[in-house]
Amino acid sequence: MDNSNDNNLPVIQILEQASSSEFYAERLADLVETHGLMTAPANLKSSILARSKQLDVQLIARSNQLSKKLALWYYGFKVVLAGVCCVGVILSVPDMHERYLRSGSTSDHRSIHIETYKVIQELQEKVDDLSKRLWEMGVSSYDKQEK
Amino acid sequence: MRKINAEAALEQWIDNYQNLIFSICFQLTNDYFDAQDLAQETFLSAYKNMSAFDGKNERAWLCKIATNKCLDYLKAAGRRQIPTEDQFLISCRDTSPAPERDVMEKELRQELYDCCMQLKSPYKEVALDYFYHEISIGEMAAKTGKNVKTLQTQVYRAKAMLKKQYRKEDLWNG
Repeated sequence: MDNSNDNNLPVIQILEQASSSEFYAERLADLVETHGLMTAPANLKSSILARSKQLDVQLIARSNQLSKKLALWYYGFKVVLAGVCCVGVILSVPDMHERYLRSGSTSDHRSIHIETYKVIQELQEKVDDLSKRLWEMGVSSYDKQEK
Repeated sequence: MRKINAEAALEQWIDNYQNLIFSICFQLTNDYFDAQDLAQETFLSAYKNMSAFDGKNERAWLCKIATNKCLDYLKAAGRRQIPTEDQFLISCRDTSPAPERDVMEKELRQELYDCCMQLKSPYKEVALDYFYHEISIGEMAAKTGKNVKTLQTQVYRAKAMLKKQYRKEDLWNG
């Protein structure tokens, strides 16, 4: 039994290469086409076409098409969100700068620096949290598709 | 429009590559009916994932799907005979000249005929018409006057019986 499994390994390895690499898939196709091409059953085409019109197949095909559009939309949304966050940070900085100019002492400078740092850190955490949630949403929707 | 395109593409792929995909599946499984099922699954999988296809090399893409399907089949528990590398290469080389290829196809068809003949009525007639003579269910319905649904059920059952019969024959022949 173990022996037969050992014998089976090479053909499985060939198949694994052919299933992942276009080059090996082409070579396998060439080999079969030149040496072992057979005529497919005449009813194969009609059975595939009939099956492809069934609801379950149509649903998967449509949802796969839709998920590609959604992925594009989701990517666009992330870019826009990142842009909005950047603009928010930029707009908040002049305000800090004005407060910095208004205050005269060095102790105030230090406190403004700390305040700025805290605000930026807080913003960064929120953006991180948001992107993490978005990422998790993306992963879970991908998992659902895979199932 | 997109649906029509997808269906037209599927039909074109079947026309161009059904022999190749069926041959790959048959060479790897050595089972006529499983090869037919795997070839069907390959095209359906391609149809479902058409949006993921880059449109460059459909032949290689379909072959990749077919080999993936065959891999799953070969790796699945309880498979009887997995062709070894030598067996696979020999099976390809053995049929290289066209006359020998014809002999192999004739042998395969004879085997199919024998299996059909061993079934009981009405499955024998249905199997002979559908699998051996390759008559469509619509034509069979017109010929026999039977209901299409009845014929579909009978074809489905006959296929399951033929699969068993085919494997039994295979075991007897070693």
